[in-house]
Amino acid sequence: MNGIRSWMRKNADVVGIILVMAALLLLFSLLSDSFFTSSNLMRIMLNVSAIGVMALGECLVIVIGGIDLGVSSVFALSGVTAGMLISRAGVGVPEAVLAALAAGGLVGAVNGFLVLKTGLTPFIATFGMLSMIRGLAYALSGGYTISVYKRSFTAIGMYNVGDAVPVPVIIFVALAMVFQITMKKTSYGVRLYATGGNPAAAAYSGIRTGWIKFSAYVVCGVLAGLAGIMSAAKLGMAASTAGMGYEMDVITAVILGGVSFNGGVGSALGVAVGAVVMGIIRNGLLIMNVSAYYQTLIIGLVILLVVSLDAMKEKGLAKLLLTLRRRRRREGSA
Amino acid sequence: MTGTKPAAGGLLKRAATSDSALAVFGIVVVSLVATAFGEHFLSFSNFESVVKSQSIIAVMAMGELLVIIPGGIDISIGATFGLAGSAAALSLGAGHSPLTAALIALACGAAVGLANGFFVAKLNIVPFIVTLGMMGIVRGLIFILTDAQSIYIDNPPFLAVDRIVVAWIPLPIWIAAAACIFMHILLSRSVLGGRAYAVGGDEEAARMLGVKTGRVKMFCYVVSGLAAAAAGLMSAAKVEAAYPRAGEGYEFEAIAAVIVGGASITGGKGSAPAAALGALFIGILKNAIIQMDISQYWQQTVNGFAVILVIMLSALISGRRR
Repeated sequence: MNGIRSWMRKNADVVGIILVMAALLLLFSLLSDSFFTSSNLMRIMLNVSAIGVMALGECLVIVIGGIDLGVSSVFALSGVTAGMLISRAGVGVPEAVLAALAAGGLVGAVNGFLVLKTGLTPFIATFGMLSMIRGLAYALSGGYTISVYKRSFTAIGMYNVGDAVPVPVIIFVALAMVFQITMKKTSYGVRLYATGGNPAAAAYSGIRTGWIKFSAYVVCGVLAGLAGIMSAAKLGMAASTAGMGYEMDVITAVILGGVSFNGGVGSALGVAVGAVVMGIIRNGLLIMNVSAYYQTLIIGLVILLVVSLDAMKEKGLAKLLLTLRRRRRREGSA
Repeated sequence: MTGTKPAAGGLLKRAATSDSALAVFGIVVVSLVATAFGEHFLSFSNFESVVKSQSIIAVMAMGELLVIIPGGIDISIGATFGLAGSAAALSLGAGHSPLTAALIALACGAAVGLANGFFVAKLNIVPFIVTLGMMGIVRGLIFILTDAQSIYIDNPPFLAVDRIVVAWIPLPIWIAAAACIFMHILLSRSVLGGRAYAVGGDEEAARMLGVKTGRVKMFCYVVSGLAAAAAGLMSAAKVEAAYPRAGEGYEFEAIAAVIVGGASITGGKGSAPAAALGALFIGILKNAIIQMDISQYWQQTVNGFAVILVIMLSALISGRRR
């Protein structure tokens, strides 16, 4: 019990979204019999895995005080790259996957370069990249959908380990764990939070903030590429139109996960749970036959609700501290 | 346009460092290239059609500018744009007069803006997050209200908004020009405009000087919602219908126009005429890419590259990091 309490204190930013997840699970389980089954829960995880993987990368970028709006285009570019290399150029699957990941990393490096060296804000730089990279994916594919039949490739999206757990779910969960540990337990994580929290102070204490930021953009690009591969493998095809608008879903997951847009605050665990919460809402509404029109509305409401609660919590805390200080001062003067 | 730059350095230098310089430069370069490589670019009718279609984006950009100057951002305007069109079409269908329909649509826009302003100013939530959530809510609302159906509009007085020509110039262009002049006066001559720049420059300092920063922001978001709704009405009159997905992605086009027009995304900087020129630049660029027969596959890449190039140049020229 003590262990749980100290864990909750240490991870206060995650507790809120975990409670939201638990409440939603309970709600949909009560409302529908077909919701809380292992196959449906696994379906939710499979559906959120690509968005979740992208959100982990986005989390790094937002923690260092940036933003990457271009992830959805990298998603398409990497799928198209892998698809073209395998189906048209006859390249082996491992090489094609590596090339697609490298393409993602390269876009991330360009983002990092634009942000660090040209003085563009992250919002503008990655917003420009959003349309540039989408166009590149379109040009590469010639506008055609590319079918990929190679079994070793489609296995990345379709194979069920032990006939139960799909590979994308394993990738998502494993990456979430790796990111959580890296961010919370390693010196790289410390430098990451320091860079996002107060770049000037971090630079004074000898952290090479430029490289930390650069690395975040590169990792974000690679993960967006990985998500694109996972999705292309799941569908057995790649198209330059894949993932359009996903950047909003990804950013929503990051926001729900309690990552601050001011940088320096947030965790991979929260972001992973945030992605799952979005999946639960979508799936639950679908199962209850609520018209799809309500999905965007409800997810929008949940965003505002979660961040408002957070803001009010902070406001309440500030008020509490103020009254305490006043009382102490009064006692001191008496 | 911010009126703080010293006059020293001569007319040329002042012209080169003004907010509009880059948009004008971009327009000239793109026009020259397009005239050299495209057959039909340099004609009055082509130019008029570009200006007319961009007048809708320009109206949205005026609202977005007013939000960006005090350091905010509004990405819900594309959804508000769609909501206004659908609300007008529904009320026309219910037998209301065009004027009532337009007023209902504008009221919807103001309500969305008010809600945005409440969350940003009262709860101190990051504008990007607030308006992202609002974007989902408003878009969902459109789907629910219209059952995700397109609604066709056949009310002649309503459609006239797009068709009337006053003094050889189509009405939408007049509307955009009026919006631009109004915003320019608001920003450069009114107390509120000065306060908007002050909040964007240094919010803490503005608050210490007695500026009610929350109220300023609230006002800006309401105007942004109104401008988006007005643009939505103009567009509905143009296409003679309200589509549930109307305006998707327009928020980014408006933001790009404002930034090309020399505004800083971190606030405190920007002007209305420059933002209007920014909107024109983006329209001319899109048109030029089509006229020059650039392969359809590369259009989007060229477009993104050109916009980013212009913004980068402006960052270099003004020597300010944005």
